[in-house]
Amino acid sequence: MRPLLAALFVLLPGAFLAAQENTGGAGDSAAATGGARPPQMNEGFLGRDIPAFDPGSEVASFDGKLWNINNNRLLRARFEKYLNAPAATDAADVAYRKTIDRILALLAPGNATQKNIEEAFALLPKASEYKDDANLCRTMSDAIHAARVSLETIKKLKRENTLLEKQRGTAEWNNMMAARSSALEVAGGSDAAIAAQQENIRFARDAKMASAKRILSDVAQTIENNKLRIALTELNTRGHLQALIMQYFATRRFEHVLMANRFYRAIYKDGDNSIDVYKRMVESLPVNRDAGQARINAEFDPTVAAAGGSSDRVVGARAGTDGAAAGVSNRAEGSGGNGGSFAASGMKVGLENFSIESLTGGAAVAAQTLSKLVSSLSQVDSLANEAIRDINEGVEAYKFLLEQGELNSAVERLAETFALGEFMPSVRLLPREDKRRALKFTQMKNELVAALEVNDLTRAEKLVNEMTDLSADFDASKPLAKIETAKTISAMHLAKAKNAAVSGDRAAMESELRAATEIWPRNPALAEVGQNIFQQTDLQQQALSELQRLIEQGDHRAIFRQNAKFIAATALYPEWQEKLGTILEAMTEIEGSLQRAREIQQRGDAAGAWESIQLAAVKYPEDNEINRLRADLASGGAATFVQALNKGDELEARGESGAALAWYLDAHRQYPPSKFAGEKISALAERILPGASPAAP
Amino acid sequence: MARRARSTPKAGIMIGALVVALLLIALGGYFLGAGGIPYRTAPEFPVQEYLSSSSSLRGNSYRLTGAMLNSIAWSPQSGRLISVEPTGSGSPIPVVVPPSLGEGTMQKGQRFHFLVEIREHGIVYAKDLTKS
Repeated sequence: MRPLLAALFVLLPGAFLAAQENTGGAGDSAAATGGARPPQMNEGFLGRDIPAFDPGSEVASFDGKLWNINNNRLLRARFEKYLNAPAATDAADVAYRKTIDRILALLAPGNATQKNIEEAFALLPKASEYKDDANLCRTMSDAIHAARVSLETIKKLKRENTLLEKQRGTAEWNNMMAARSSALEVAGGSDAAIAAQQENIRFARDAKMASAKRILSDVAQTIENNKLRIALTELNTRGHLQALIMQYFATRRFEHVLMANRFYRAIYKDGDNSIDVYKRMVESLPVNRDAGQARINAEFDPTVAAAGGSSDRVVGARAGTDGAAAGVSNRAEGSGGNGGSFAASGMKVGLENFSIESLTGGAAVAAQTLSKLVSSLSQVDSLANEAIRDINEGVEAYKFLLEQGELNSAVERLAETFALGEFMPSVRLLPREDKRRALKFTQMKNELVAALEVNDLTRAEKLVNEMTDLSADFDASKPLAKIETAKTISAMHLAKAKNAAVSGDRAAMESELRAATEIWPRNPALAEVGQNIFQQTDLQQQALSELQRLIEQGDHRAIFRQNAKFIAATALYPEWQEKLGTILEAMTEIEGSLQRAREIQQRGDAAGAWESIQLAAVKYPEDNEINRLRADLASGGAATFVQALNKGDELEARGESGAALAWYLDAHRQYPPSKFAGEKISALAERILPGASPAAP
Repeated sequence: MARRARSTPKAGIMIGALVVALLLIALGGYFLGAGGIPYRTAPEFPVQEYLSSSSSLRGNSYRLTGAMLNSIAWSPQSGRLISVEPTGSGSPIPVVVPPSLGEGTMQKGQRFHFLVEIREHGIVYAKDLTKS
């Protein structure tokens, strides 16, 4: 019994939630099960047509679809709406409850007298006046009325057939008498004369019997037609009522199931409780499973044809409908007899012109599955009773758990009970105060689900902590495990993004940042790291621009001073690296010359310092620092030395080699280690005394 | 007691004679000494003018006295190029001493009197020299 209720639990809302297969429903289920394939997904010996419910994971599976009964957007929203609604205790609700209870009492087994049945039938329109009933009792009343009318029709047809049978008996007797009174006896004569006489007698007998035969044929045809009408009418009205009962069951209107069932038994007293008619109807529903669509045609008025016939030699009838309808043909070979046949296109029931075909497909599949689960109205009746009991127990369990402060379990029990018995009195009458206690926890739970769905881990963690404080039985391990795992993975992606940014792998950096964002979109570290990376990128571009500007200005010293920044900025640009390398190499040499010159100057050797820096100045005449130091030395401590060299250069340029040599000698006298003076002296000595040795023998 | 005058006419004569004698000694020393400077007829080498513009002195001969600072170069055919520090000037002057003047005996620090001529490119050539 329990599995059937679970199946119902899945099928009914599931039929309308089928469209969620690839969206919220499936996603929720996947989240709830951690992506593992539940055992219900495996093909059982009954295939996937039989729904299954795993109480451990609270996941139900049917036809390849999964639903977590406590984790479904539509159910969550509907459940939250219920928790906010007041108890159904106003005057109309009370009156409606009384009316339904009265009807059930009147129809209760052992109490269903004709008077009580009529009284209950009269209460149906009254019950339908209340909004909670949603006019279901009116529909039931109409169906019962139609069934009663059809039963009267059947009775009338049966009476008519009785009369027709009498007429047929009379016609047959007359026919037989006509045949006896027309014996083929002749007076005598030649053989030819005898034959002619017999032929004449046969013609006369046939003429006498023609009228009786026609009447007999007409009567037989009418009787067969009436039989068919009786069968179809009964089939039709039974089917209507059975479908109505199953519809009540499918929509979890269990009290209406009981009422309709008891009316059905009162109307059809033959004890036939099978729902074969309903089964045949729903099995005819076409479902395109591959496309996830269904087009359902309703044909409660099937096309029928009937024929009857009677003949001495061949009796037959054939009837058919257009299209691929069923055809039945009776043929009786031999003499004498009669026959009748009928054909009808298969009876169909369903929904048509639904805009959402997947919805209709779900409903069709659900109806077919339901028809496989039950085989009689007694089963439906017992299932409804069991559901009512289960719902009432669920409400009691909720109240008890609430008293114990076990909000998590209490809310889960109430959610299950609500899903099964949303319209039951025990659920509707639950005081708002009791429901409000669960509302806050439910809202937090829904928020937690939403936060986990969007990977808002910060919010989810906060909710988990609050729910742990609120409910003694809330299991925080699952959400916390997911949260911590996601945080760790996000941190790993961020670390990779940082490394990629440092190594200049922009594609990897973006990929890792994207992955980190998907896992934890509101990760505080994400913004920080992203900002740092982008700032770094921005700084890189700024550094390159500055480098270009400094190169254009020839300010290599400024480049040298910020060499670390420029080296980092040009790491990804080989052409820039080459330029920067050349500049830094030169600047290293210049700075070395400056340092050496300053050291020499500090020793008091101004001329030596000047000479040192002059060497660098020859190579790097544009360097400001060199020029500045050189000028300082030339106008300071090395003034006379430099002046002597300059005068020597000046006179040498004028061709006055002797005087130039005198100045160089003077410079050499001032600074004997002078490389410049020595070279100049040697050069001029060679010019004055060609081929002379530099030193005395 | 009253002061008595001590000068006499004989003492005056003796002082006058001494002055004359000293004067004579001074004049004799002047004339005897000047007579020891060689190339007295040549003008003294104009160091500063040479250092400023040697081309204007081209073809002139001068008397140059100074100490030999360094031997810069030597050639058996062309002689020796030395630097000389003129007396009274710190600026060395390069002088080419031809082999005919016995440049091989010249040593650093020795003082010489040079009779020099400024030639093409302002090069100072020694025409004659004597040790001082």
